[in-house]
Amino acid sequence: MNKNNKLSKFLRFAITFSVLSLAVFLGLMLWDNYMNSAWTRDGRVRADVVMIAPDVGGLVSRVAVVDNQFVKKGELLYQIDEERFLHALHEAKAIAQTRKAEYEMKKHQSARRNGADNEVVSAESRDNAHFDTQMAHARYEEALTQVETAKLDLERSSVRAPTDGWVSNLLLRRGDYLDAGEKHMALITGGSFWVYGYFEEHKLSLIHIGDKAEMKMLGTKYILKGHVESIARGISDRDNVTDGRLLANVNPIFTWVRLAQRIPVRIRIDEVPQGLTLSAGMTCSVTIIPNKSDQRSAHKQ
Amino acid sequence: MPLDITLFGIQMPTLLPIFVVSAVVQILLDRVMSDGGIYNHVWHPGLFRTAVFVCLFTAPCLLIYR
Amino acid sequence: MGAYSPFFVSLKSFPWQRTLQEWLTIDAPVLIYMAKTLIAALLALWIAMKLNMPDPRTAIFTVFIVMQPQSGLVFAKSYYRVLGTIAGVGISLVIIGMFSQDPLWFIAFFALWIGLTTAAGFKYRNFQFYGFVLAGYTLCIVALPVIETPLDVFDIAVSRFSEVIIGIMCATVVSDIIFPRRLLDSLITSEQERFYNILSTLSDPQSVFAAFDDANPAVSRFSNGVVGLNAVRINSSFESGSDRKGRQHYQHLNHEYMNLSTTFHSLKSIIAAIKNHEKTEVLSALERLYDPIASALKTLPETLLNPEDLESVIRKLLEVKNTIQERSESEHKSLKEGDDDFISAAYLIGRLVSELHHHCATYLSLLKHRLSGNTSFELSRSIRFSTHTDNVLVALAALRGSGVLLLTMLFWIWTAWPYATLSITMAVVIGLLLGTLPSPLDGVKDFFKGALIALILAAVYDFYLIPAYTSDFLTLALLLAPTLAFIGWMTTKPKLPVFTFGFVFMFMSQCALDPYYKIEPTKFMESSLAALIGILFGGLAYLLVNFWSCSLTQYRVAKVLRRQIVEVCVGPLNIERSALESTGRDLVQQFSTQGRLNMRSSRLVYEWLLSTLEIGRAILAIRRSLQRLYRQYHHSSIDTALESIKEYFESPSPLGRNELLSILEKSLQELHSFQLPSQKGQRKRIQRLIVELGLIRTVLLNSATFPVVTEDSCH
Repeated sequence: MNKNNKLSKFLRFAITFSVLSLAVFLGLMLWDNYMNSAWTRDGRVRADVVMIAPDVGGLVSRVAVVDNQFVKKGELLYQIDEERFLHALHEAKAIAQTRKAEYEMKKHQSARRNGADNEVVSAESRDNAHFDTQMAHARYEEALTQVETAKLDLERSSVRAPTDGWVSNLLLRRGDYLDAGEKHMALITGGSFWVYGYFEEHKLSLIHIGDKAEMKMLGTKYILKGHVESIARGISDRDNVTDGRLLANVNPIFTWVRLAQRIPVRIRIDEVPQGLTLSAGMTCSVTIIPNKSDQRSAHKQ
Repeated sequence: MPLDITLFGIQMPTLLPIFVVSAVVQILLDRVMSDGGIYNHVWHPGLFRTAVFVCLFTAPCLLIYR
Repeated sequence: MGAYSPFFVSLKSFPWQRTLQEWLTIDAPVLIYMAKTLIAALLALWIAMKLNMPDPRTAIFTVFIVMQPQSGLVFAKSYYRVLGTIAGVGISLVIIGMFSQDPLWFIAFFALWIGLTTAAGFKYRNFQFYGFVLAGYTLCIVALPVIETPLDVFDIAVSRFSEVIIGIMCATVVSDIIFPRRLLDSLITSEQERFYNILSTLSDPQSVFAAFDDANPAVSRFSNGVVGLNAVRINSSFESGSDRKGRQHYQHLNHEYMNLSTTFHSLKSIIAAIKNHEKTEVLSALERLYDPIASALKTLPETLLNPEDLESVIRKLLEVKNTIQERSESEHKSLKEGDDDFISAAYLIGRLVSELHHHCATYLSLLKHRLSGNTSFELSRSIRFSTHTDNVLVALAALRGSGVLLLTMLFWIWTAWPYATLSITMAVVIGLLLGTLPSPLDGVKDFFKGALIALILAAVYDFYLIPAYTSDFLTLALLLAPTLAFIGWMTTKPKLPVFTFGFVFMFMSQCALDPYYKIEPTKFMESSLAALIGILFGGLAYLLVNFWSCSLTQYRVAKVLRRQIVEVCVGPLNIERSALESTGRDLVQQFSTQGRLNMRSSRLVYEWLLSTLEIGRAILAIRRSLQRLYRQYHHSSIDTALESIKEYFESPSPLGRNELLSILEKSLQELHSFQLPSQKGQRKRIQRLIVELGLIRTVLLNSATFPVVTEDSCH
């Protein structure tokens, strides 16, 4: 009876503690794996965006693309009214012709004075004629350059795609008036997509440049493959926002519990699965697959 | 298993649904165990129950974070 | 040598062991509980901050709300808190999604929801009530702050829910792991206490035959504890040790106890009537009849029962049950006149014995189940504890809830004060939470006091202690520890629950428990002011919508009880006796906490209840017997009797009572003169009819107190 009682008591302890130790073991393992796996839910697809602005101002006479259209490099995006530039070209050309005639005249004059006797034309007047010719030539050259500028303006009045890419968020309409240099169209450079993964700072030691990465797009089954290209070398200090006079402005009290901040890690996309349309700004979760050989060498050390 | 799961357009870590499912399983298991009198054979029922829940929760989670 | 000095002698003679024992049983649990609360609260705060929740105070607040000394209570409260939060969060998503642009509809829907939850909270018992409180209050917490920026509602809803879950996880795990105290244990002790109380009461013939006496505690204790123990049983089912069989046993015990107590009281009131009429002969005959019961119970040990003793008692009771039948017939013959009172009383004594026998057998089965795991018999079915709530009370509560919401909404719109949303929340909480208290106005006062003291303390924390002494979580925890432990201690004091709640509510909402500390005195002042105004509004609602009085309560109770009798007369026959009993008791319990009854009127209401139960039970028995009686034995006089009972209880009058009594008299006489059938089963049924009808007559005749308002006992 007594023996039996002892045995059952021992069994009671044994059952509880075996399950408890199993729970502790599994819990620790999960904690370890959770903390030491380099992944983040906070990943964003990004892309190079070219902000298109016209080189010359004027009325938009034609928009040659539609929203989200893919354009090849050099393709016409929109046209700024050319007439003004045509007129300017004609004017420049006319001025050039006048200048040319002037130059011809001066040249002729100078040649005539050169050929005449010393008694008839003074050396001074001959010199004058010579310099006049030179000046007229320079003025002619100037007028020619203005013609070239007018031609360039005319050419630039049709705005063309600087790279291959997608027209995005097209708001420009025929009849809009644009100032020179005013940004009015975004062009997402084709093939320039990359991913920014924001990793907690304590996980950075698990990430090396060149490591393979997998990005799972939010709400889809698509998985992008890539590798770590670079790690950002700075984020701003939230507890010290520089004030207007460039002095430190430190928060008087820190958070009670420290929270890890997040550092952006740039990942180059190597492989986009078929059927997935990438857009800049998409959310994804990023998992870094540690380099096996790296891990092994780390263990050896 | 995926690290996160999308339900009704909301992305959440897979841990969350696992937590809910294991809680439901735990409640059912608790009923069965108390009716079967298992709690009479353990030293500290509360501790035992919590430990069982931890096991239920962590085992599937470990499939995710290998 | 030191041992001889008087100091050491006195040290030796000092009752160390008993002192230690006492400390262990009385003080240590409180200390342990305080430590548990503190650990759970700080753990919740830390986890919430670690997970970067926007409002860690909700987690710590949840811990204090659900924390109870016994883990069964914690589980029950947590369960309903989760359900309530889910409902509240869900409805706020809906309400913001649908009506955030339209103030009129927004307010209307809001008020509707608050009214609904108040009413539902009123209708349900225990912690279910708390679930509804939460459902209403969560809507305020989630929907009001985002009214300007409706898109944030999802974030707030999710974070609110996660914080509640964190708090609940901490509270339940800590209370179940660290020195758990189980509700089941207290259920076992109180069940045991009740059982011994029954045995000791019944073993003394004096307690049956003496007059009603408030000085005799055993007798008055016999009547209460049905509803409360049922609540304990429900809550304990969340604990790890409770199994289905045990729960069924407790259900049966409760049900049998109700029956026993009804029978006991009916018997007592008949005996009192017999005494009043000075029929000493009848009385002594009854005393002789009761003797074997008393002697059977006398042999029991005072304290711990073991199954063997109980088994012998059960055997004896079975013998007594058989002898009483014969004895009552012989006693009846020895009496000079055929006395109806005697028949009724003897029948009740017989019933008492058989019910006691049942009760003992169930208790024995439970004992065996607890000791060895196997029961002595299978319990047939689980018995539902039915409840009844008065619709007028519910409607009034809903009206008050919606009213106070509309009032504070008006205040908000009129002042356009951004902090007025806090007033709304506070007023709604007051309206929801204190509605079920016996005196809500005193509750509001207590709440206000608690809130005021908490405000002062929170100000000390916010503007002195935290900025001066804290730098990280450890120091913050050390600073908070005394206050949190103090709150834990306060929650163990049953005398100041509302004060404690006010304190916790205000302290948690005003103390700077944010992830980032900011000194904002103006915000502190304004939000405190808003909360206090909210409390005042809540109190105002109780002051205004409060035409509940003692006589109104009596009127309502009488009406409901009478309706029950009418229902029993005409309703379906499959009403269980247990349903009848539990409904009536629950109703009276509710009215006596709600209805501002004084001692005398609550006594009166209780007697009404008992006579209603007795009459209702008898009517059911008559109707069942009639159903099984062959057609040729049917007697029209019984039908007329039933009909007139129904009519009388539909519209009572003193005149009607006399008429009813004469009708009953007539039909009884007719039944007596009726030739008894030769078939045994049929004869028994007719005899049963006579007994039950006589019982109804006796109850009607003797007790002046059945649910008819004839006198006003309120003044």
